[in-house]
Amino acid sequence: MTNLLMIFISAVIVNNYVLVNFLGICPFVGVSKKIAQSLSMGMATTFVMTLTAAVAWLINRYILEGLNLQFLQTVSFILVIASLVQLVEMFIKKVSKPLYDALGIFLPLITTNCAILGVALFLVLKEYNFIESIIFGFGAGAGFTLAIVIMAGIREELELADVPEYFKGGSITMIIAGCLALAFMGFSGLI
Amino acid sequence: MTKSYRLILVLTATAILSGLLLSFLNIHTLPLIEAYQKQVLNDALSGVLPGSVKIEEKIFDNQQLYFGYNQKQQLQGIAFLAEGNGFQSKLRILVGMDPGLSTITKIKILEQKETPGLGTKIESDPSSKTDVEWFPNQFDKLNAGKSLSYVKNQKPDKSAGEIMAITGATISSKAVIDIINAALQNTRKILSNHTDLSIAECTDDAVFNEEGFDPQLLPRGAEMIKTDNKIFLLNKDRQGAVSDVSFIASGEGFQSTLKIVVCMNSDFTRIKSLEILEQDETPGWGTRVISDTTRTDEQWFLKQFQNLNVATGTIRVGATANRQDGIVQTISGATISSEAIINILNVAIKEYRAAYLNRKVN
Amino acid sequence: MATKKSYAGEFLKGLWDENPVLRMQLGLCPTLAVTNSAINGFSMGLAVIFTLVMSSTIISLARNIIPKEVRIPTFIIVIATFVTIADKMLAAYFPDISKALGPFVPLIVVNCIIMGRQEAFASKNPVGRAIIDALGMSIGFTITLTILGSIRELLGVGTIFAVQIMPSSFEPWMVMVLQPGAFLTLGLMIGVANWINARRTK
Repeated sequence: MTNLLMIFISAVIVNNYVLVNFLGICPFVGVSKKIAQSLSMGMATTFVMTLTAAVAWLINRYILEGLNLQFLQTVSFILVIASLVQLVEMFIKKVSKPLYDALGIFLPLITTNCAILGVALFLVLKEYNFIESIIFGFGAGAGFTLAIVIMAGIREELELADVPEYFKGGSITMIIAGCLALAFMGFSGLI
Repeated sequence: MTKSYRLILVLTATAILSGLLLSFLNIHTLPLIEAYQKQVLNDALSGVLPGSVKIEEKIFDNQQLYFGYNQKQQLQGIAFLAEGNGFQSKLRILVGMDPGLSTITKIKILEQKETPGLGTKIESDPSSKTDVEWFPNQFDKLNAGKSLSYVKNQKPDKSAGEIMAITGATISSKAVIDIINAALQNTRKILSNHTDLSIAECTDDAVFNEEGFDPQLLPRGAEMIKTDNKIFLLNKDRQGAVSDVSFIASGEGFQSTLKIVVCMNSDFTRIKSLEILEQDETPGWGTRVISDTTRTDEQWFLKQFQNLNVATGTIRVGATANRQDGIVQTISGATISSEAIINILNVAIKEYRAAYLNRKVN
Repeated sequence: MATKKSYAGEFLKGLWDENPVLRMQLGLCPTLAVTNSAINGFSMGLAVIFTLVMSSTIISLARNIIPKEVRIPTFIIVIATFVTIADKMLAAYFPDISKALGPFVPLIVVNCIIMGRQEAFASKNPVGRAIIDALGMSIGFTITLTILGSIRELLGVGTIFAVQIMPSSFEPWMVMVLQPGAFLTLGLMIGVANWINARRTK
């Protein structure tokens, strides 16, 4: 139990996906203008990440390791993620209209979010078991959500600030992310 | 061709081509990658087990242990992998120790991704002017009888298992120590569960001299006992049980007195090894008992006695050697010297066995 | 891509006007993650050059065979294949670099630059043009990563490509080789790039 808690906290805070491991930077910069929007993006990502962690673990264990095909890891993971996202999108569209309206437009973006493939690759690297993998996927998603929502909160305020012209947009976002990363460094060594 | 067939065809063809290409690549690169990993490990192993010419890997309870042997097949050291979490990354450390697991010979950090410039000093410190590897080098010849520990801002005491922590990277330093301590404890437990891994296999013949044994040179874990005017050297395993017994057999050969160090198992049913301490036989003929230059394996004669079953009480001579039946071959051209050795052994084993088994155990 | 540029223009746009990192802000994950030293940034760049050029060549050659509906999965398979090739080659021939880049080599698959160039360019242009475009984009990426890596290495350790530059009295800014340094340096580089661009167009 403590072990699972450790994995979760490590994925959310200590090894935050965005600020410490540099994964999922593109949506972090692209979709962090409004809090509500970022929250939806974060939730969609968390959902897909958890699912990916479970499926990737099964594929790795029973297909890739079982048949000694580890060299097909990258290819098979990315295909699984792409089809998974597609399935989730179709499923949500059928089942819940409001949920689709909230998450739908973000789903295609998630396919090329390196954080998802990152989850799949890291759980193999860290040799997690099935339950640990799911917790890790969920934690990584929660960490992503945390980072992107904090960022959106700051950027909403930033609209009122007087940022030098050339530093508007991507530039100032990076610099703020740098400050956040500095703050998150304080967590390292927590576990 | 309808549209949907074409979709399936293109996707399948792409996937098959990709799979084929990658499997060809895999066949080509896999041996190279594995060879590199093996090379890294071997380099590290010969670094932490100095003086070993042969390193054997054995796996117990999912833990790999590496045993280093010198030219005489004697155990020189044991190495094991220690793994655990550092400050912010996984650490993999190879630890080399003496056969008794009481002193660290050397350690090697195989893997770490600690804070650059601070935690990475556990592996190497490029800013150091004197010794870039001062932190790992602190473990050289470190006493590990008790658990290792660290000190700050004072001179560490090597005999107490102390090392100096890195300024600014105390947690990484502590992690290295904790990981080694845990792995060491685990390794000790594994070895004590496998009593067949005795500390030393028979005693180095350097301990013997013309008079018998030199008590000054007794190896760790060995004990000398004297009973019925006969001297025995006992080697013990980790539990303190006797793993082998050595004694000196002497008698007349063809034209000189022979002295032979015999190493046997503790119930005197099997010879473990023989070492001729002194002989002055006919050069070129009788000396073949030690080195027979007419054969590719010059020590074939003495090697026949290794693992020889002597439960029947006597070693016999036969046309073909058979360890299980206690039969050895003689050397043609040196039959008398060969038979003399066998006779000396038969007499000595009988006497020493009786003396040893009837000794008073206090 | 309505207007046809010259080959030189096609190549040069990747270096500056459409520089993937500084101007389009694509492929940021590897940009930030591996640039704690100049050599790592440079090696990552080389891996991307290989993957992008090879993928663009294949996709451009096959652009009339691949049906529109399955183009994305096909692109993904092609890209992932070349990424795996790059990954295994690095592991086999340059194990030290492979170890330093870690899982960021397989992550090139989801580098938006590569997918983006297939979708926007290679699938619509003849092979010669596609290769030039891929070369321009990936070399622009490599140069940016190498500069970023050099700045961080210089300030964080005092060296560039492991050659001592700073005097020994220089106290390294440790934070530059850590995560915050990556964000701060890239943020400043994007700002400076904006400024230069504004001056140029004026």
